[in-house]
Amino acid sequence: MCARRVVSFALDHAKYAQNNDDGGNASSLAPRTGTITVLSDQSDGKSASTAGTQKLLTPTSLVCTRRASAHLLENDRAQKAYRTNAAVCVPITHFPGEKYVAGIQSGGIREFANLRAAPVVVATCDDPIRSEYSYSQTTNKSKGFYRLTPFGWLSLQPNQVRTIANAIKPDVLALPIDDVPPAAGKRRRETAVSRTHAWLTETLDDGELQGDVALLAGLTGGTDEVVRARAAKLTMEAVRASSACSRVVGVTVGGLAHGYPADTTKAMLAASLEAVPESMVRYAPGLGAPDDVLRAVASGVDLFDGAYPLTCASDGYALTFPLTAQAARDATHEVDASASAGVDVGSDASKMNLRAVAYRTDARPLVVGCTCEACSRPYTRAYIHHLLNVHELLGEMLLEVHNAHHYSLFFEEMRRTVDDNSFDDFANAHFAYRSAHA
Amino acid sequence: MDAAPRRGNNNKRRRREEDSFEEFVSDEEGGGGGSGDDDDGSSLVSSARARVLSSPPLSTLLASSISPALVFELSSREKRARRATMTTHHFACQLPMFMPVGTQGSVKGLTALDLENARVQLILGNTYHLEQRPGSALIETMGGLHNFVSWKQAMLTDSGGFQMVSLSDLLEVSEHAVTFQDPATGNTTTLTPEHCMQVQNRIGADIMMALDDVVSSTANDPKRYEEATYRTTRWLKRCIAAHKRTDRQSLFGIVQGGLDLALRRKSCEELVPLNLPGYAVGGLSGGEDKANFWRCVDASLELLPENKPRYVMGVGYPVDIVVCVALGADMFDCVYPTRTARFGTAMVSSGLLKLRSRSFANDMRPIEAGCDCATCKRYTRAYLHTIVTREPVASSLVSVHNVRYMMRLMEQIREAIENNRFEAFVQQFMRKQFPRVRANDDYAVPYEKMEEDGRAPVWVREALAKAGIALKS
Ligand SMILES: [Zn+2]
Ligand SMILES: [Zn+2]
Repeated sequence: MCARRVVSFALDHAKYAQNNDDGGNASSLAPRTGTITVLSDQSDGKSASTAGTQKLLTPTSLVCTRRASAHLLENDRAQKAYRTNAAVCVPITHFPGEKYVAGIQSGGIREFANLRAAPVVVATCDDPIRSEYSYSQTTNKSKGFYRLTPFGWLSLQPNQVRTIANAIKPDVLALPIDDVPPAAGKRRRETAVSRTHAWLTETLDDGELQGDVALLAGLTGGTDEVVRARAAKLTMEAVRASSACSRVVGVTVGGLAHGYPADTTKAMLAASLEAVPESMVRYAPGLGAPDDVLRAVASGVDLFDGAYPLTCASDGYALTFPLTAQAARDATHEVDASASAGVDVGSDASKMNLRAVAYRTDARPLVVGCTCEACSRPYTRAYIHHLLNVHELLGEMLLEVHNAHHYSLFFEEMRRTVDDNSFDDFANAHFAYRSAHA
Repeated sequence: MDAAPRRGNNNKRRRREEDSFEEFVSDEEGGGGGSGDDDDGSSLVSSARARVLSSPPLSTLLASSISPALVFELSSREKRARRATMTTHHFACQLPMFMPVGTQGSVKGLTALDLENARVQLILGNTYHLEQRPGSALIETMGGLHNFVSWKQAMLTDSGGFQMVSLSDLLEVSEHAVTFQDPATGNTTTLTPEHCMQVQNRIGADIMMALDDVVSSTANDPKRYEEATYRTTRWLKRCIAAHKRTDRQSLFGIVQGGLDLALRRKSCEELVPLNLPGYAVGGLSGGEDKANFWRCVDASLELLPENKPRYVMGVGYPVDIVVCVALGADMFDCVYPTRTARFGTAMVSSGLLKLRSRSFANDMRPIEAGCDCATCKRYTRAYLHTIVTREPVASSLVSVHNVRYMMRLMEQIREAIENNRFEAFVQQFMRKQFPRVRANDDYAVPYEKMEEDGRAPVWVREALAKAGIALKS
C-alpha cells in the first residue's frame, strides 16, 4: 500500500589511529562519521514526497517532538532550522495505545503530521524531554513499563509498543530499555538486563512488527561496567541468533541521563559499546550539552536526543557557544574584556540568558552573523527579552529556531572535523574556551 | 519644488474635495521645511500624492484626500461599498482590510514571516499594553515599534482608552484626564490626551487613534453617553494640538455617541470639520444588541466624509465585516481570529470548525478545501484534532489559517467591489454562512443563531436592505 522504506547505516570515516595507544579494544571508542540511508520505493504511486533516497549524516541530533510536532515549531519550519539533517524523534508515549493512533492512516506519522521532509523518523519508548521522570518506573509485576505520557502515568506492554509502531510506521524503532536508577543495587541491575533482553527477543521473534522498520536494541546495566558489558554481549548474541537480525541497525545506550561525571559516562559508554559492531548506529539519549556531546562523539556515539536546545529555549536561553576551533580560540582571549566590563547577565560561556535585563535595549541579533530565521530577520535580543517578559509564545519560538540552527551547525562542524582528522583540535579549543569562562 | 505646478492645478484640487492638510503640505514643502529623512517610506506617500494630483478624477464619486502622512484614493464603489487604497508612510494598504491585533508587540504565535505569508497589510498594537511593557520610551530608543518588532508594513496603535476601561479599575474621568489603577501593580496612572499623543508618537505607528471618553456600549446611561460624546470632541482637539509627528503619523478621530443615533450624528457633525486623515466608529462591539450595532454604524458612516478612510473598531466576525463593508466601512480589527484559534476553532466559509470535536478524528481534509494557507497545505483536520488545545504549536497552526482566512475574505470583498459584483458576493457569502440545509460532511457550526426558517438573522437582512442589498429568500 504505502511506500517501503528500508534503513541502512554505513560508516564514512572512523578515526582509529589516535585512540589505539592504550592498546586493547579502544577502536570502538573513536569519533566517526556515517550516513543513515533510507531507501523508499513508491509502491502506491501516491505521493512523490516519499519516493527516493533520504540521507542523514551522523553524528547528529534528533528533533524532539510533542505528539509528532516539533515542540513550538511547525515541522517544516523545524526541519529548516535543523537544516534538514536531524532525525525526528516520536516518543510512542505520546500515542500510548490503540485509540490514540486510530486517526493515523496508511501513510503513518510521516504523512499524518507532515514529517515528509524528515530524513529519518525514529520512534522511541522514552520521551527525551520527560525522561528524567520515567527512568525508574518499571513495574515489577507485569512485563510492561510505566512512562509519564501527556495523558498521565501509563503502563505500556511490549506488544502495545509494536501495535503503536505499526500505526506510526517509523523508519526506526528504539526498543524499550529498563533503566537503572543511580542508587539501585545489584539485583535491580540484573533485573533490568534480563527484562530489556526479554523485550528485545520477544520483538525479534514474534513477527508482530510490520513493514521494514529498523530496530535499535537497548543496552542497560546502570553504572556497573561488568554488568553493562555482559548485557551488551548478550544483546548482540540474541541479535545474531535471530532470523530478524538484519532489522537491528543499531543500539540505544541507556542509563546516561542521570548527570553522571564525565569519567563515569565514558566508562559506561565503553562498557556498552565494546561488544557492538562498528557497523551499528549508536544512539545515546540523555547527553546534550555541548561538552557532553563532544565527549560522547569522541567515544563513538552517532545520535543524540535533541532535548538540549529545546530545554534551553524554554528556560529563556539562546545557544551562543563558538562553532569552530578558531572562533573558540578567539573567544577564549576575549573573555577578559567582557569580564572586566562587569556585565553579569546570568549567561554562561555557552548560552545567553535572554531574561536578563542587560538585553533590554540590545539591538543585536542573538548571534551576530547567524543565518537562522530569527537572527536573519533580524529579531533583536531586546525584542526577544520583551517577548519572554510578557510571556508571548513567540519569544520561545524564536529561541527554538535559533537554538536548533546553532545546534545543527555544531554537529556539522563535528562531522567536518572528524572527516579531516581535526576533531581533537576542535574539542580541545572548545574545552579551553569553556574553562577560561568557568 | 513641485509646489508650483500643483498650485496651478487649483480647479482639479477643488473637485477632489481636498482638505486644508494639502495646503499645509505644499506650504511646508515650498518653504523647504518638513522632515529631513525622506526614506523609502515617505516616498510612498509622496508618490501617491503625486499620482492623485496628476490624474484626473474618474468621477465625482471617486473621491480622494491627501494629508501629510496619508493618501486615500477611492478606486471603485458599488452601492455603499468602497474599494480604496490608503497609502501610509510604510505601506500602501488595499481597502477594505482586516487588521490582526498584536497586543504586546506580537500577533500571538505568529512570526512576521507568517504574517507576510498570510498577506497581512497592517498590524495593530495596543498602546496600553505597550506602554506598560516595554514602555514607549524604550520603543522609541529602539527606533519605533516597526523596528522593535521587525515589521516593515503598516501599523496602527489604539489610544489605550478602551483597555483602561476594560482592564483597569477606573478611578475617575474628568475633563482633564482619565485616572485609573493598574490592578496588578496598584499604580495609579493619569492619562491626558496630550500624554496619549506623546506615547503614540514615540511608538511611531502609521495611524494613531485619538483618546476618546469610552463608555461601555451596554451602559444604558443617556446622560453619561452625552457627556462622553462632547468630551471626546474636546479631547480630539487637544490630541490634534499635541500630535508632534504629522509628517509620519496620521491621527484618526473616533465617533462616539453610545447607542443613541442622534448623538452619533452629532458626534460626526462635530468631528468632520476637524478634517482628520481618517475616522473611526468607536464604542461598539462590546456586546450590544446587533440591531443597535448596525444602526449606529450606519448612522455614523452616512455622515463621515466620502474621501476619508472609515474604520469600525473591534469588529472581526466575518458576517459583521461583510455587513459593515456594505454600509461603507473600510477597516476592521479584532483579536477573534487568533484568540479562537487558541481554543481550537478554525474559521471556514460555512462557519466555525471546533476541531476538538470527535467528528474530526478521522477527517483527512484540510481545514478548508482551496485555502492557500501554510496549514491547509500541510495538515489535516484529523491531525489538528489530536493537538488543538493540547500542544502550543496547534494555536500557531490554526492562527495561520484563521488570519489567512480573514485576508482571503477581504481579498474576495475587494475583488467583488472592483468588478461590480459585491451584491452577488454578499448573497453567496450569507447563503454559505446560513445554509438552509447543511451537507452531511459539513461539520461547521454558524457564528450566530440563524432564524428558525433557516434564513440569515433579521439584523443582517435589515442592515443589508439599508445598504441596498437584498438577500434572496
Ligand atoms: Zn540565530
Ligand atoms: Zn487554511
